[in-house]
Amino acid sequence: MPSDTRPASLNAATPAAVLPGPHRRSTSAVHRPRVALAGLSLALLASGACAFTATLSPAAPLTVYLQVGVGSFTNDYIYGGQPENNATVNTVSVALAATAVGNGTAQTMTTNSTASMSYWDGFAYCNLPNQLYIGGFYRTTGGKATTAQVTAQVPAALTDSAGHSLPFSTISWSSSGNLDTGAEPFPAGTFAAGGAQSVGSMASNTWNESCWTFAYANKTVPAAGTFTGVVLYTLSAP
Amino acid sequence: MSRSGRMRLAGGIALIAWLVLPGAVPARTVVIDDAGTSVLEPLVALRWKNAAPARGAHNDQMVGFMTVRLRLNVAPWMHRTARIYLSLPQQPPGPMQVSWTAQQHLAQGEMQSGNRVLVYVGPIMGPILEDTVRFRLTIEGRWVQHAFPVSMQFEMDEA
Repeated sequence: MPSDTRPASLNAATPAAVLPGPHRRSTSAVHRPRVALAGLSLALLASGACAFTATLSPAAPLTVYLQVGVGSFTNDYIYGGQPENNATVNTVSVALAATAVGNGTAQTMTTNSTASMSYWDGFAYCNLPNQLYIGGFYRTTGGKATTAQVTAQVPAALTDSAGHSLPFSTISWSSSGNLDTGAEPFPAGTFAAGGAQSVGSMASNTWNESCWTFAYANKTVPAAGTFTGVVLYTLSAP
Repeated sequence: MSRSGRMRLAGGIALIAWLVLPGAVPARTVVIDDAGTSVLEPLVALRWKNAAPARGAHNDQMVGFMTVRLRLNVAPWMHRTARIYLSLPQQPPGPMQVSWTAQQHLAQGEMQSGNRVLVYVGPIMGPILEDTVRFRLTIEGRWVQHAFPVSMQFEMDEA
C-alpha cells in the first residue's frame, strides 16, 4: 500500500495539505477545468524524461570462508569484521609412551591452534588444546537455498623418515562446541585413507562452526618414529 | 417541520459541508520532468551488507550506493509553493529500501519501495531545481539473481 512519509526536516509544512497516495486523479465534473489544465501540463512535460533508472548488479555475490584451526577476521563479524586470508597450517598430534603403544586405548590428540573463539561474536566456542576450530560461511544470492560442501583430501598414510607408515584411518574425531545446539555442521568422523571425503556442509547464508577433538586409535604397534601427514580441507560452493 | 425532519436537514447540511470544503481543491500528482538527470555510476555494485551471515540463520541483505545529479524541470511551477515527492514504485525483483542524503535543496529521508516521501516544500524560484543526491539501496540477496534496473521519479503535488 503506497503511503506518504514526511521528512522530519520539513515538519513546519502544513500537514493538512498532505493527501496520501501517489496516484491521485481528479475526475469529477466539478473539477473539469482543472483536469483540462493538468492534461495540458502533462502534455508539455511528456517531451522530457520522467524517471531516472540505475542498474544494480551483485558484486562478488558468491563469497566463501573456511577456517580450520586459526583464521583471520579484521574484527568479530557482529562488530563489522571482514574475513581475511590466513596461510597458517596447524597440527594435531599425540606422543605415546612406549608402554601405551598399541594397547587399544584411543589417545586424544592436541592442537597447536590458538583459535578457540568464534569470529562470529568472539565467544569461546572451542577448548584448547584438545579442540580444533572449523567454521565458515557460504554467501550466495537468489531465493533457492543451496549447500556448500567441505571435503578433506586425505593421504593414504602418515609416514616417518624411515619410510614406515600408519594408515590415516587410525585417526578419528568427535565434534561439539560450547553451548552448541542441534546437529553439528561438521560431524564426527574417521579419515578415509587415500581419498577425498566429505566432512561437513554449509547451508547458504548461514554461519557454521564445530570443534573437533581428534584421537589416534592406537590398536597396532608400529615402528618407533614420528609419523606425519597433511590433510587438505576444501570448501566447494555450487 | 417535525423534529426528525429538522435532524435530517441538519444532517444533510453537515454532509454537504464535509464533502465540499476539503475537496474543493484536491491535490493532483504530476511526475516531474527530470531530463538532464544523470546517475554517476552506470552500474551500481550490490555488496553484502554484512560480510558474514548470522549464525544458524539467514541474513542476506545486499547494499549498493549511487550518486545522482538531479535536474528537475520545475518551470511549470515557477513562483509557486511546491511540494515535491520522491517516489520508488514497486518493481522487480522484490522489495527494496532506499535512503538518501542531498547536498542542497532536498531533505534526506528513507522509504520502502511502493512509497513516496516528501523531499521539498517551498517556493520555486527558478525553472530548474538541481541537487546532488547520494542513495543507499538495500535489497535481500534472495531477490537478486542478475543485474536489474531500478527506477525512481519525482512527483509534484498540485493543489
